[in-house]
Amino acid sequence: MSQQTLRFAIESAVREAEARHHEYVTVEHLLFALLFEPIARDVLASCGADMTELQVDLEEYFEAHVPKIADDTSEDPKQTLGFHRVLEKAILHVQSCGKASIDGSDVLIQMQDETESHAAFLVQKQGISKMDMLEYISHGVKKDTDEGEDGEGASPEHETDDEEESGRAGSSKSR
Amino acid sequence: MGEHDQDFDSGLATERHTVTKKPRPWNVLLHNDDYTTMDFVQTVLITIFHHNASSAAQLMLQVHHKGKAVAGTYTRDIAETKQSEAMVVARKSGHPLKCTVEPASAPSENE
Repeated sequence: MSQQTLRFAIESAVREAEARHHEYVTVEHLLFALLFEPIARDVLASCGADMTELQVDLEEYFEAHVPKIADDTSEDPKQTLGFHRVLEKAILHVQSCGKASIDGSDVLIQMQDETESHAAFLVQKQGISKMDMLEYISHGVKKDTDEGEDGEGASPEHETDDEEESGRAGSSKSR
Repeated sequence: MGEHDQDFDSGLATERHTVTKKPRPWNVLLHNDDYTTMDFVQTVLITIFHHNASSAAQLMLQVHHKGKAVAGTYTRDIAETKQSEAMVVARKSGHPLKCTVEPASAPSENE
């Protein structure tokens, strides 16, 4: 099920690049598509991302940094090395950890390791670190929540808070 | 202990330094060699880096005379992809053309 939504996201990343006559499908196209993938979207939103701003930032990136090809060529957009790498790493991770299926959050996480990518930069610009997302995905620990209930490893339904979490909430505010 | 309250905890696996650094532009450089033909360099500049014939000819001469030239400036991911495309097409046609990427801000001898 979640695998289907990811597949749909990847396809729409490619379609987006095609429709805009972009020469490449980049990691950022993938992030753009993930904004509409339920699982990745939930992670970003729960970590405090401003979806509209992210989308605007990505649009600006497309405009400024992705080469365009002539409208009349029927050439398909080429996938960048980073695009491949992110998907490959997400698949490898899911295989090695024994998770039943891959979803948008796996891809979102691997994206953060792309050095000097706008995908990682724009997420960080929202004040979200990879660790914030890992905590939410793994333990349902939401960023910037101040409920004082102790319970590590709780499911996403239960918002939890521990020393580490409140510490980070503090530090993120000072950012 | 700084302003960050997190500093008091044990430190294991709690590091969270978000380095929000703006991605730099990256240059793709073509290097001169004695075996890659001028024609081929020009073709690469036109097909992969989308230069028109005259600017491709100019850059090709710069590669020839100065040892290297910037074929284009892109994001890191796109620069590396262009580099790989150029190398693949060069090897396929039997040319030892060398193509590298570097941050655009890095001092390059001939710029």
